[in-house]
Amino acid sequence: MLQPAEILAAVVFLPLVGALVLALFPAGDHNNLKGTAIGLTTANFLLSLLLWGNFRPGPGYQMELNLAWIEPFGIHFHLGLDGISLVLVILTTFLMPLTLLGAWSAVEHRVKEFVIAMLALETGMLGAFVSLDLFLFYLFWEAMLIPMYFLIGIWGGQRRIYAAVKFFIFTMAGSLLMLVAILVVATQPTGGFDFSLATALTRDFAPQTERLLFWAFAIAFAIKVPMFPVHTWLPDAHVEAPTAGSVILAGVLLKLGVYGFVRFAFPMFPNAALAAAPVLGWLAVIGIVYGALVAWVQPDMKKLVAYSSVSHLGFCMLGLAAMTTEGVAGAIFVCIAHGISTPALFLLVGMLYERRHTRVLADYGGIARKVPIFAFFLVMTVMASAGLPALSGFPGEFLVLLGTYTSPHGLGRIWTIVAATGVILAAVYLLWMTQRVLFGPLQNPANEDLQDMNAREIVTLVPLMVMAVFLGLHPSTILDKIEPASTRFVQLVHQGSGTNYQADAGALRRSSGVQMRPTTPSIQLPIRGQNPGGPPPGAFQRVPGLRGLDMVAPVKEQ
Amino acid sequence: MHSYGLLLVLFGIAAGIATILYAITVTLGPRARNPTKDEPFECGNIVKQVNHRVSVKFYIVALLFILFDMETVFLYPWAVIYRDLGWTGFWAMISFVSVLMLGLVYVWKKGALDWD
Amino acid sequence: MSISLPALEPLLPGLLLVGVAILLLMYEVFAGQADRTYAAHLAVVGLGLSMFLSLKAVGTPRALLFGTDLANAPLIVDDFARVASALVAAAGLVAALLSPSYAKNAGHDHGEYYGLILFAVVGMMIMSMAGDLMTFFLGLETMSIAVYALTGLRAHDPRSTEAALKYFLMGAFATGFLLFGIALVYGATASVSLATLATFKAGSPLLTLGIALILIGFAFKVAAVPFHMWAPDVYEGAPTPVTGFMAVGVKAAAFIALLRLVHSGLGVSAQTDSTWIPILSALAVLTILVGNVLALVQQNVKRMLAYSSVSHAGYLLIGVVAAARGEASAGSAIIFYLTSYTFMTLGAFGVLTFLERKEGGPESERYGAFAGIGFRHPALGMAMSLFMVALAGMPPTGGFFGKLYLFTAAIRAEETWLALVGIAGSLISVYYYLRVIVAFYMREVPEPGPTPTATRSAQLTLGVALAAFFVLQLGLFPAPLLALTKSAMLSLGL
Repeated sequence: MLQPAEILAAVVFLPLVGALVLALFPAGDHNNLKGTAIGLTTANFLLSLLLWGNFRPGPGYQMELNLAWIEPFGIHFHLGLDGISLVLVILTTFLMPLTLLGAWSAVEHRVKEFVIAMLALETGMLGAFVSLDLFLFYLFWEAMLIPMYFLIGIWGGQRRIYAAVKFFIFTMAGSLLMLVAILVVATQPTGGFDFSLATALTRDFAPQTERLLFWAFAIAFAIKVPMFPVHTWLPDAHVEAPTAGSVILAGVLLKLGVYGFVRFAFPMFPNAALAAAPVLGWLAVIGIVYGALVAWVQPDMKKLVAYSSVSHLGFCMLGLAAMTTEGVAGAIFVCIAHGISTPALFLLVGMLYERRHTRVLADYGGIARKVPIFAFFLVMTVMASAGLPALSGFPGEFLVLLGTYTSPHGLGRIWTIVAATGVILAAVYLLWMTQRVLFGPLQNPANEDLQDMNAREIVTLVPLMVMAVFLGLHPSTILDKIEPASTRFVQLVHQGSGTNYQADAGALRRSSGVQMRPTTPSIQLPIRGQNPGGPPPGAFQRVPGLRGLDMVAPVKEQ
Repeated sequence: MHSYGLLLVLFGIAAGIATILYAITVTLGPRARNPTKDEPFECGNIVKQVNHRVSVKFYIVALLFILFDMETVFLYPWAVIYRDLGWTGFWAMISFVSVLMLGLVYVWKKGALDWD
Repeated sequence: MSISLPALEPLLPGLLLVGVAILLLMYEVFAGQADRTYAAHLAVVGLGLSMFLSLKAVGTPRALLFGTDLANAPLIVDDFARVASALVAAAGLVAALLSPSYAKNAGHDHGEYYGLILFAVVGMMIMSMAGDLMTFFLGLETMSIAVYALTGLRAHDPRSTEAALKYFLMGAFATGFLLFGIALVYGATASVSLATLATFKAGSPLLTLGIALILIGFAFKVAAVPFHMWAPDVYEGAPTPVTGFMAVGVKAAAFIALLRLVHSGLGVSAQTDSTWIPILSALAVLTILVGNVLALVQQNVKRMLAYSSVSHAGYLLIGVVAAARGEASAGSAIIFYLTSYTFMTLGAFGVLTFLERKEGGPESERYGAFAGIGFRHPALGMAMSLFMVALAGMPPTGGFFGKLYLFTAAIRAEETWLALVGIAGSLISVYYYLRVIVAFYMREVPEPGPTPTATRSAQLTLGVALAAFFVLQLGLFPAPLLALTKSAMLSLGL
């Protein structure tokens, strides 16, 4: 039986091995290629569930695999998981087979290259989520760029080359800055020449250096997220990418930006991060509102969904900028929820496109009667995406707003108010889109014989819908995994910068008025500052879990 | 100063010989002037226009001549101190000359020495 | 002073190549056949053996030839020279593998071709061993003259003749600078030995001027801006495998010689004379920016690679600056970068050789001519993508690790801004390297029309495969080469 650490390595590299095997397949046998790829990714998903099973509650890294690699440079092959990595890994492996299934009929030429690119991409993404060495992380981070570039550039739409190159250059610009920062970090005299994250966390920098380094990392990750002023590549990439590319791009790739902030940029440079938090927070709320407004006026469905991603990812960044446990846990939850609803939206838009070869909203209208199953799925997905309670979109955004409101730096309340309008705007543009596509009179005669979803398409979407409902009702399933890691993260940043903030969820919850259920304490933190109504300094306080958000089924009590 | 004096003597002798030889040709040689003799003379070529074309073979031969001529320059310093160098120097020069020989063989077999 | 045969043993890798080259010439004139593949094979075996001998000797003590100490030995065979010799032999080996099918296509299938490659490699080896400026100059000329001849081999193509003439004239010009510089240095110090040079402190204007002229000579050879003008025309006109060999071999030899110069001669005066760092830095920055920007606007892939090679010289100059600052790891980084650059560039030229059309002409080298190649020849497409990605400096390739190493050295030498300039250059370069991939995979495939068909050749395939293997190997498992470069730099006393 494999050790958990070996399972982790296997999960990361199985797709790559699969890609190499598929390279030997005959290029003409499309069904065989697609089938094998789906089989492989499904197997990888099941394998990754073993990680879930092996994961013990707790804040630290688990299932670590640490092998010497390039000794003279202090580079290690170091993989490991914490709760945040875990849920993102599962999200990736979960989406992959569905994406391939969804692309079954959309990709008809260059099938072999397509599946190879997808599998290579999966290894890149998974590796980036579990690397605990800066060099290794950078390697995976860059390595996933290339297959994505091919996906957009080969199987994309009219302006695919422009979009692919723009995507590549934008991301590369950020990552090269990050590379210099990584080198500066690794060559700092304290700690020796070492690329490991653990050493990086112990290093001290001069304030000026720290600020520059933080922004070098932050720009790289902000481009990936993408945050407001550097988001322009995303709509182009989404519109031109094939459905499968869009699904992965929105579902996983963007999350790597958020993840990068959580894992690297904030904990490594806590002082600079806290100093920069107001800027990031403002950019995030601008992104939320701006993304929503621009999405509203899009005539093209895919562009609408793309801008909605800008808006949703704004919530993730807002949660991080708030620097509270709720905010961070909420941010990761939004990542997961967005990683379920937006791929579903892209798949649905792709299905329409396959039938009618147009994504312009005005070409549709009233098709609900012709395609009732499609209509059902679209409405469900839109609701989940808009953050309707009891669906996956709600808990994350709620936690982010909650965490932001109580954020230690005074801007939290203003941000919350502005961001809340983003939630309303999301409902507006999404529902309006649904209305214009599905309902009203059927005016376009071309839609008369629109085919409803076939069995394959239903099979593709059902798991996503099930997850959307399940996470809406049982957010604690993943919040339990996220929370200790989020608390640790907030603690790392605040301790690193020496501020008197205590990652306490209880006080916030009391003031929020939502019925909460105190549950198993997952981490105990020393309190360094005063909390309103909290125990005296020096005492240990229990930080309850975030299970209170569960909608049904009482959580098991101690 | 003594050695420079010897040098001066050498120059004197050289100049003397040149003068004597010139005097002999002027006094004893027959004088028959004609236009061809008054033309400028350069290495066997008759100088016409500046852009006058010369067979490329000429250049090849000239090139080869200069090449091998230059190599012989290395023989002079060796000849001066070959006693000091001993057998080492001898074998070194043998290998040098053999490489040169191989070069000549190559040039010959390549046909660079054939005029036609 | 007496020389016995065993004393020549350290020179064996070079002597072997001379022997093979002469053998090739003799065989060519006495038993010449229509097909010169045998010559390629002989050259490859010779180069492989020479490389093996060089690497085998790494770790053994330094050998001084024809002299008793560093100050009077013209040839110094230390680990530095051995590693460098192995590197240039590897470059010659891959170039020789790329050549047979191209030579047949282009109609210059001569046995002498491989002899010239071998002589050029010997020249490069001498450059890496040179203990004084005169020996260095001899090596440089041996290499240069062979490469001039190689450049003009496609005698029926005016582009090739133009390239050879330009390269020869510019090379002669550069040689003039170099020789005058050496003369001035000799005038100032009464010695051409690098070790003696190191004992002189800066201050003498004659010495400063001499070193400046030597640097200009180097800048010409590595095509650093503003001495790069010849590169694109020469690269475009020369036979493709020769272009590859020129781009990597000449550059490697020049940088390696420069490194020895910096560490044993120039270094001291560079550290005591603060004028060198800004000049070298300016040279590096100009080379990176101009090389990359000009590569951006090229329409011909060979010309693009020429300008990209200019920009790579710029990255390497960053390393030279760091070395001149006294950063111990810079030299090691330069050798590492040169090695990975050798494989990725030769690989790229190998793929171009594959796709060269018989009728040739500049049209067949434009981006558009490569539309759809990635799907028609999947292996070639993969290889070319790999080489482009490596040249752009992305993981997991040797190109990435090389840049990482170079920029790390720059940051350690407190020249972070130079690393940033290098990064900016890399970013520009991403665009034009991607254009090749765009052409290979994303452009509409023209119907039958004039698309190049790959030349099938076992040697060519082996050459490209070797290059691809090493590009990946150096990216994922760089430790063995790191150990080699380290021992090379240790032998220079670092």
